[in-house]
Amino acid sequence: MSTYDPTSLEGVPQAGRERLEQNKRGLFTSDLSVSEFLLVKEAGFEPLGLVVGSSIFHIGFQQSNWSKSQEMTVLSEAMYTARELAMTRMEEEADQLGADGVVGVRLDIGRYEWGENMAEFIAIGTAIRHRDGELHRAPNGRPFTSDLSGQDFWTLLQSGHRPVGMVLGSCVYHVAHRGMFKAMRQAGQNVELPNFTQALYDARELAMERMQAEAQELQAEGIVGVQLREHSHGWGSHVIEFFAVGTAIVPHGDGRQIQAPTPVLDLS
Amino acid sequence: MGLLDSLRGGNGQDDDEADRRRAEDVARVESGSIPLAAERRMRELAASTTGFTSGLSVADFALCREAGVRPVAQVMGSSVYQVGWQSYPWSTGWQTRGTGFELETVSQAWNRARALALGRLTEEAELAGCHAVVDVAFTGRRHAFLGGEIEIVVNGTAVVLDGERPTDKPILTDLSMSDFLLLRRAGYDPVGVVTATSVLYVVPGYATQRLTGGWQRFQPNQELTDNTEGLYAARELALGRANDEAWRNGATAVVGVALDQHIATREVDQTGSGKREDLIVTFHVIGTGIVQRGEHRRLEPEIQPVVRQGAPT
Repeated sequence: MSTYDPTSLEGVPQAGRERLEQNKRGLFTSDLSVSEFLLVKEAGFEPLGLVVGSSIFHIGFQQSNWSKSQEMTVLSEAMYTARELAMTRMEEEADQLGADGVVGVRLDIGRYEWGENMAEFIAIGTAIRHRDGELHRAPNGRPFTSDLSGQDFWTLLQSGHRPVGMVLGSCVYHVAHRGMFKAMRQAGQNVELPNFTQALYDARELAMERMQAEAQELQAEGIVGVQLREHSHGWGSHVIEFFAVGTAIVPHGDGRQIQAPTPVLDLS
Repeated sequence: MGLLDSLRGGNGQDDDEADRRRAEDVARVESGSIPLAAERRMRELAASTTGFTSGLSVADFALCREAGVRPVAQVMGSSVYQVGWQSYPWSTGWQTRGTGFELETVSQAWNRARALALGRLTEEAELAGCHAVVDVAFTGRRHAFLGGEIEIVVNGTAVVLDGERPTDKPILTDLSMSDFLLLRRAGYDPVGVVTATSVLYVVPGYATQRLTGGWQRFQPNQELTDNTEGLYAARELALGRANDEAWRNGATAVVGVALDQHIATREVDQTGSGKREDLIVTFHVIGTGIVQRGEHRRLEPEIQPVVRQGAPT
């Protein structure tokens, strides 16, 4: 994990520093929608500003074995480290604004024609601070992060939980090619392909397990809103990244409960 | 740290060990079971009293706590399946009415692959020691590296119902958590997810062929009855299968039915009369079978109509 320095402005250009200064003086920018903005306020938080972290990362090379299903550890590590870097930088920016956390975090990957083995990892979110200074940070002292919308954030707090951090797990996996003889023997039949099933299954499990490990580190009660995504980042069709992301939550406030829900008929 | 440690530690370093493990996993998959890593993950989640994973939205999560339902784990099953060789039915195309033939190999491939994936999801759910799996959703994928093969991935969130006796037969449903809770509140129990696929090959009759090809396609608006009938037949076939399955499981109704349809066309050369376009219609059905538990209970408090303001969530 990259080291975290709350005072670091590493890599933030002059214009960005000025923007942060301006945000500190009270003007905030955010990509929250109107309802999100109002609900974040309702939850007792003030939006402080849009915070960004990015990292252009050179992704190393690893030779895959044609006939072997295996994790591409070099690539897994690159994808993980680069995202972690982008997230850390975003958290540092948030810290500059004195934020308790960041909501509505989006993680994007940009690829450019001019850099074949490169990818830009971007994390964007809105930094927020609690009005009465209740401590809402993650146990490791960083601002909390979450990919929850303003509405979800409010609902979560109402139900007696709070987000502690976005948790990620990633696994880049090479799926073995099928042997020609085997393919010929099975030609024209309805059969399951256990090698493919096992490889894709294994890769997904690895990604989910790593996400869980991150949540355990944050002493989370659980993870909500898990998304499993699959990408092939131009490594050829047999090399696939499995990426699991969700928001780790902890109990907060003593046994708060939402009101008994009222069934409604949506007329809009 | 978790990731980097595990990268340096177990995986890839000890190649023989990894190979042995992989071979074992493949053997497990061949017998219709789940890989070792999956079993380990489920056992860990089932044993821990605090940690859970879930694909639940925050609203659903808040709701389930209120209703005494506890998420345990996100469960998954998948299968990569090779669709066998399928011959297309031969037809002169001279008949007046359209004809439909089921492409049985393809239908079977979908149904078996899904059964395998669902079986694995069920196995994970059993290991998690849950009562039900909600939000069961299928994604059929075609990875770039697969040719004619299909991959079916099925996901859901395993939940424990407070105050119910432990069971070794968790119930699957494609309903969302809020729907699941609402249904239970009203006095119904899901009995399981029902799914079916039909793949139908439709050869249009002469009249429809004339309307879709050649200069006659400039004729006024008309229904292409043979194609319509083909679509109907495929849908009825799939729905009928889903109904049969629900009935066998003891369900008295099926709710939350989602239909997914694909239509592909295949051009066929006809000696003497040019080309005709046949249809390949694929229908997937998923729904949840339910039974009534005692009396139907009215929703309390009364339903309130609302108009949503602001941006949709």
